[in-house]
Amino acid sequence: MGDSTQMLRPIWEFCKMPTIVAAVSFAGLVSSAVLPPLVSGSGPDDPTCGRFDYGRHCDLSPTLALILDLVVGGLLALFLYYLSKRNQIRLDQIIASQEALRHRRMDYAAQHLKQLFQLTLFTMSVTKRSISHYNLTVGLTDDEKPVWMKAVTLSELRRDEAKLGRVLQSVRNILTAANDVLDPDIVTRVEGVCNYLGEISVEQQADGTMEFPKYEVCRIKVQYLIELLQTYSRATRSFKEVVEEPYGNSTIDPEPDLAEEVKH
Amino acid sequence: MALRDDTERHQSGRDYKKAFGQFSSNKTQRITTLKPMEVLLDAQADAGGGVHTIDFNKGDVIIRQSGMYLIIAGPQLGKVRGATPRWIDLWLRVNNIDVPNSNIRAVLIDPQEKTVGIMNSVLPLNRGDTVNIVMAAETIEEGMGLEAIAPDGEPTIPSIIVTVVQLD
Repeated sequence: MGDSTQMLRPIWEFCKMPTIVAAVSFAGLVSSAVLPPLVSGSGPDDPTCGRFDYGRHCDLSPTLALILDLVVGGLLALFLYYLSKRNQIRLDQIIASQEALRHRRMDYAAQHLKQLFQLTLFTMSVTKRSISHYNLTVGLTDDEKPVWMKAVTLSELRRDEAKLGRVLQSVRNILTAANDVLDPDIVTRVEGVCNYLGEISVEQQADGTMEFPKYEVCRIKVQYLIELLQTYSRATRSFKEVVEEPYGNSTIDPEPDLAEEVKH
Repeated sequence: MALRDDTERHQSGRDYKKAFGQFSSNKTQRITTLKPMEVLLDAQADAGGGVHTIDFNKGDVIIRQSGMYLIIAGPQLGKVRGATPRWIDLWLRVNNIDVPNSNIRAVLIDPQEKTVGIMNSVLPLNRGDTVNIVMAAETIEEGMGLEAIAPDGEPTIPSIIVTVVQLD
């Protein structure tokens, strides 16, 4: 039952094409309106008529009627085959072009994400440098024009922060545009890093200095992601999971100066 | 750096294919703001002869190997003053996004009362993901928070113990 439904589906698809419907209707009209008068003749049947005689005075023999039906059916089948073949070629071309487009989008997304995260890493380090420039101005005396220097370095700092925000926005835009071609796992990971970085902003401490909170963690997260994006292969169009040596030293130094505050 | 499909062998002869980590804090952490505060960690157990398959930096637990993880945290809760019942909430945060259905609440009445909360969650985590434990309290006036306790003749009781184990 299911198989017959599957087989009938292409026929139904053909029935929805106006060209094929018109062709079949035309063939039916020709075979029903023109052929019967021709083959059946218009006069009385002549006793001299043979099995394959075809003329005004001879009725069509059953054998010739069968042959004519077979010829008409064969021509119709050839015509339908030609139409279906032509449509199949067109469909294959469309599928191939869509697949090529999909590959190009995926290549572009992987390449561009990698570049954007490298830019993120760079911008983060530039922001950190701007923070240290700003912090140098905190202890300056009035003779050294600290207000002017603070204003300049603060504007640099804000500019770098805004740039980081724009880069993250570009990453999100690529994710939105290419989320149908990228692996959902990659999308989740990139989104995770974007969410984390998006919540980080430069903070002013009680002593007036600025700090980039969790800079090391941000750097490591971005580096992990760049490592993953670098494993993208155009041959397989996939990423390969990278795992660090589990026995190596940690790249992060936990705060050693956390004083113990214990309570009896 | 190596690809995932090879098998690592530690010098001790044990194979570690799954990540694990146990973290704790020997610092008392009181809530000083009504906004959610991240719980800080300051120690990682050197399980398996110094094998560290998960990193941490202050309050951030950083995953180095993608997979499904079981996270269990036991915070030692207490307060300094006040006899009014006050709540304190703790929950998980991954990549700065709160994890739904990971919250727990304890209500503290007496400053002498010491409660251990239990948080547990199973999460799919990717390499580079950060996990934080976050706490918030009803008031900042009564010194609510996590308490490290140093009893005489016993090891110090950490203010929080966090266990992270990769499941798959």
